[in-house]
Parts: sequence; C-alpha cells; structure tokens
Amino acid sequence: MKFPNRRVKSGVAAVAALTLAGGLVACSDSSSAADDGKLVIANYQFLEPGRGDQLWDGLLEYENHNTEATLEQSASPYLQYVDKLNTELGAGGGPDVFVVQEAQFATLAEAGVLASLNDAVTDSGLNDLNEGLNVDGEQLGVIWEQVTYALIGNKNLMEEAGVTELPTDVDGLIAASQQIQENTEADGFAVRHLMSEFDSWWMDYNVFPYGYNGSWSNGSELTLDTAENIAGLEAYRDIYDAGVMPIGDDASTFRTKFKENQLGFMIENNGATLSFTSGGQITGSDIVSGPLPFDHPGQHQRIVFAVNKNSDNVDLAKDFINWFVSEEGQTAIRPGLGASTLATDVPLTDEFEGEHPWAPVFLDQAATSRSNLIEGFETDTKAVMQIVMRAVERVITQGQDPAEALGEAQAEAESSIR
Amino acid sequence: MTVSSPPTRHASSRPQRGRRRGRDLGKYLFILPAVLYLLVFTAAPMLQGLLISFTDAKLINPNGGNFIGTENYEFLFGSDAFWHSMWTTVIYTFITVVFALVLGTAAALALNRAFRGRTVVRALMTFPYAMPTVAAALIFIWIFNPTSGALNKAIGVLGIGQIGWLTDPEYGLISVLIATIWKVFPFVMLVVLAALQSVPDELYEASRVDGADGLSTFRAVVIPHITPTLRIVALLMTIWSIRRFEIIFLLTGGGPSEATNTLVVNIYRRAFSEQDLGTAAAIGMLGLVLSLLVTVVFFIADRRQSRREGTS
Repeated sequence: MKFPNRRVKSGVAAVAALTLAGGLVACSDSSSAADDGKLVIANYQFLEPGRGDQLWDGLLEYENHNTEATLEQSASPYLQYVDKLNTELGAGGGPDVFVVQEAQFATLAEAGVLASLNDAVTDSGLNDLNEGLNVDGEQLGVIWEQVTYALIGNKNLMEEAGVTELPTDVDGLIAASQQIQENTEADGFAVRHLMSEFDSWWMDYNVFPYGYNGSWSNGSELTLDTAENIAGLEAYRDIYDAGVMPIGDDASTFRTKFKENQLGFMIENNGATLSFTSGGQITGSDIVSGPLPFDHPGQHQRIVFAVNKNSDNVDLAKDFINWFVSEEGQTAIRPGLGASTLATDVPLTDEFEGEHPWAPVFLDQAATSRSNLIEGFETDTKAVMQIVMRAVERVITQGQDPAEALGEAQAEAESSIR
Repeated sequence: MTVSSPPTRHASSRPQRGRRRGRDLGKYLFILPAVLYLLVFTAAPMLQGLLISFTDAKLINPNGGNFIGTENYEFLFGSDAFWHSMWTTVIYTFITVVFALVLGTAAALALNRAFRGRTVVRALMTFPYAMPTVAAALIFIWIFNPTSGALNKAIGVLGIGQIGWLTDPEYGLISVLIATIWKVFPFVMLVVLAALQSVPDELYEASRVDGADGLSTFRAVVIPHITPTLRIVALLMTIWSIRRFEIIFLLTGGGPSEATNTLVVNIYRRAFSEQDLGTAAAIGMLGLVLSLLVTVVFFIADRRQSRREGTS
C-alpha cells in the first residue's frame, strides 16, 4: 500500500472533522425549536379523526388575537406521545406548550420543568378543577379538559337485539351483551384488557375498583388489596370471562367496531365517544349513554395544559395560555372538546347537545367522579399501577384468585416503591 | 551479488521507517471517523448508562439522580421478576436462533438448486425480512386475534377450539417466537445462500468423480464451506435476539402475565412506564453483560476451532 497522498490525507481529515462536528451537533442541547413569535403546541388529540382538526382550528383563533404569533402543531399517537414528551423534556427540550395527563403532570411538576403561569391566569375565572395544578403557590398548568367515563350503547344494535334500555349493573351488562351477541352479528361489550396498551388500560380499569368504592391508598399507605378493590377486580373478571368481549382486540379495533355497528356496549370516556360520531356509520343520536353500572362513582382523567420552562418563548406561551383561559379561548375550543369539563365553566351549546344527546350524562358523571392519581403517591401512580395491572392480567389470563393477586401486588408494591 | 555496507543500509532504513510511520498514520486516519463515531454514539452513552445505573434517576430528570451505590443491582438480583425476565430472554433467544438457522439454511439449500420460478420464490421468501417490523406486528396481531384471527379460523376447521395466542400466557411466547422467526429467518437464508453460491463448482465435480452421493457431498463439501458463515450468523442472530424490542412489545407489551417480558421490554417498562431510569439502566448493563458473554464464548470457540483446523 502506498502512503496516502496529500489529497487523500485531506479527505480523511475532512471526514474526521465532519464526523466530529456531526457528533458535537448531535450531542448539543436540543432545546425548543421555537423561533420568535412561533409556538409549538403538542397534543396527541390533534391526530384524532374528526375532532383533531376541530381542536386545532379552535387554537388557531389565537393567531387572530395575537397577529404577531404563529402556532405550529406537534402530534404523535398517545402511546408514543407520553414517551416522546418525557424524553424531550428530560433532555431540556420539547414543545413550548403541551398537554399531559394528570399523573404525568405530577412528575413534571416535581422535576421542575414547568413554567409558572401565575401572571397568565389572574382574573381568568378558573374553576375548582385547576386547584390541584397549583403547587406551592405556583399555578403550573391549567385544565385542558377533564374527561369522564360512562356506559355507552349502540342504539342501532340495541334495537335490533331487543335491548330496550342500558343496563345498570354488571349482571345486567353481561345479560344485555349476550343478547346483542345472540341476536346480531356484533360483539357484546368491550373495554381495554391488553398489557400492550398499559398507558391507557390502567386508567380505563380504574372505573371498576372505584365503582365498588375502592381506592389504591389511604393517603399515607398503599391499600391495593382491600375488599372493595377485590370486588372491582372480580367484576372486571366476570365480564372478561362471560364471553361477550372481543378478547385480543386493542382499543382502536373495538372502537372502530363500535363506529361500524359491530359492538354493542362500551365503558368509554367522552373524548373517544365524540370521535365515534365522525368517519363511521353512526351519528351522535345513534349513541345512548348512562351512568356506569356500579354503585359508586367512577374516575376521571384530567388533561393539563402546561408551558415548558425551557421554552425560548415562555412569555409568548404565557400570553397564549392567558388567551386560552379567556372566554374567547374557551369558547373557541369548546366544540372540539365536546362533553368535557374545561378550565372555566363554559356550558355546552344547544346545537352541540342537539347533535349529541349522549353528552349530558358525562357532565353529570363529572360531578362525582374521582381522580386517577393515587393520593400520597402521586408521582408513583404509574409505577404502582404497573404492579396492579400485572395482577389484573394474572387474574384474567391465568385464573388467579383476585384476592391473592392483589395481595401479591400489595407485597410487591411495598418492596419496590422505594 | 554484492552485500551492501552497513552505513549504506543504515541510510536506506531511515526513509523506510518514515514510510512505515506514514503508512501507520494513514491507517489511523482511516479508522479515526469510525472510532470517533463509536466514542460519541456508543461509548459515551454506555458510560452514562453505567453511571445512571448507580443512581435513583428518574426519566424526566436523568442527571438529577442521587448516587445509591449498588442498590439497583441488589434489588434486581433479589427480584424474581428480573430472573424471570432474564430466563425469558435466554429461551426466546435460543429458540429464535435455532429455528432461524435451521429454516434459513434449509431454504437456502432449496433455493441454491435451479428450478422454474426460483427468482419469484426467492423474492417471496425475502419478503418478511424486507417488511417493516410495525407492519409485520400488525399483521400478526390480526392473525393471532382469538375471535376473528385467521389462525383460529383455520384451526377451527380442524375442530380445535379457540386459542388466545396473544392473551394466554401459555401461548404468548410461542406466538411471539412464530412472528419473530418468520421475520428473521430470511436473513439467514440470504447469507447462507451467498455462501453456498461461493462454493466452487470444481469441488462438487471432484466429489462426484470420487463417487460421493448427495448426502456425502453435503457433509464433506457444503457444510465445511458454510460453517464459518453459520457461526457468524449465529452470533449476530443471538445478539440481535437479546436486544430485540419492537415486535415483542407491539405484539404483547411483555404480557400476557409476563410471558414475553424480555430484558429489553423490561428496560422500557422500567424507564418509561415507571420512570425509574436508574433501575432500567442497571437492567441494561446486565443485558450488556449477557451479550458480551455470548460474544466472548463465541470468539473463544472460534479460536479453538481455528487452531484445530490449523493443526489438522
């Protein structure tokens, strides 16, 4: 081999320099990409068929309010959204304004990555739901929406199967679901049941133990294996084992079935229910809704709107939040958020109620529903629920006794939640 | 021929040494980009991962963890769930590698013979490897669906009842293995096929002249020729299987009942679902040790084999 000539040496040096430069660029701080006057808004709901565009159109009203500003959306499916946001924020970057679930909000607040909104929400008429977002005197977020759960039924299938009204307890739900299956080609009932959907499954599952007055803690200690929680798990197992569920279907599959008149009943939140009324075979008037089939209230999900402390445009982001909680902003976003409770008390419009007669039930449920955060263990909620859902999985897939499964979960949580 | 005098030899060795040094410098310059790349994108993150594994860092604040010594490792070594995860990884890896090698080699041997439509068959058999993993996972989710999936419909015709391929812990790992092997065996097939096509025709000819039958030719000519290829493919398949994530996570998320909770899925759950970056990093380090162990064993075995071949 000949000694490389000067040109070759230069080439090698250039490649090395480029590689080093590339590496350094890749390692550099990936702070917010926002330029002056531009806000990046992140929300997984922008991808939802039908209402995603409606939500974005509502937010774009801000550009009329502040003509200097432009909004840019950042969206990814929910299951990736949470991981992506956590990773970006953990690295000191991320969008300027974003939505987060309440459980994630608690973690972000503790990590100190949220900007204080105190001066942005003064005199804005925030309702009581926002109080939990005030941490040590700092308002670190405002409610984007609070979604609640109710029992919904496909009116077309109910009529075809001769089911005259929504069931009010678990036995009735199983019977009505069987009636749907026997008299139509459709599945009876569906709720999430797969570990591959853990991030949503644990929230959906909570309606069962809550429905039996269960709770995961007493404020200072975990109480995973109480009689109430066991009763909730037994009810969940009974429905799972009744042969009325399309076992193996993920949420996107059984939700599509509901839209296509192939599924009778669901325990569902109002956000998803609104999305069923577009792009499928049913309209708002084809959905009937009723209280959850339990004696006690269910849970709600609070979705929080927060500002990234590391944003290059914190002041602009605060101005945006100030507009968002104003009457103008809340009215603009109301159509896209359907039957949710918002940051301020904005009523449903008559037009919306007319098109979606199922909606008021969800607002009634919101009056008594409970948070899915575990009191006293707010930042460990997801870690605890991982353990709980593994126990639930053992019950439904291995036939383990619910009391035994939750007892094991209690022991595991006590040793691993450090 | 005259012998050069020492001073002359001395004088001529200086430029030789200079040229040698220059050649060495050239080599270093050529490998510099790769070394820098590895330092920036492999060594540095690995070192950071190692440091994080000794802290109680949370995902949202990776650099804010407190030093807790070997607590994460002690916790894992005392955890049944961790050992179950390790065992699942070993089983998953072993079965994947064995089946992929057997199926891939068999397919390569079949495709190495001339027959009508061979190009089409080869393209079809390469298809699983070319397909994006997400698409493959979605297809298998539908195939394995207990109520409306093609597999249960097919076995239903045979009078076998519905099986919860992805929901029953007894079948969870089997289902994931079926999907994985389907996805990866074409890689083995392609590599072994390339090795088979490099066997000189003269060797087959000589074998035939010596009166060897097909099986003898396979044992005496083909196997020795493709063994080095199979060895390296086995190593690659093993390392890839230990660290495989997407298809397992998309199919089962580590369930049902932990049946498919391999080390890498466990890392994801710890880091992202439970936000426990410290423990996740510790699992990652132990997974790395497992991969290194396999690699070291492979190279020791390879060296011994080479020595044996050298002495025979």
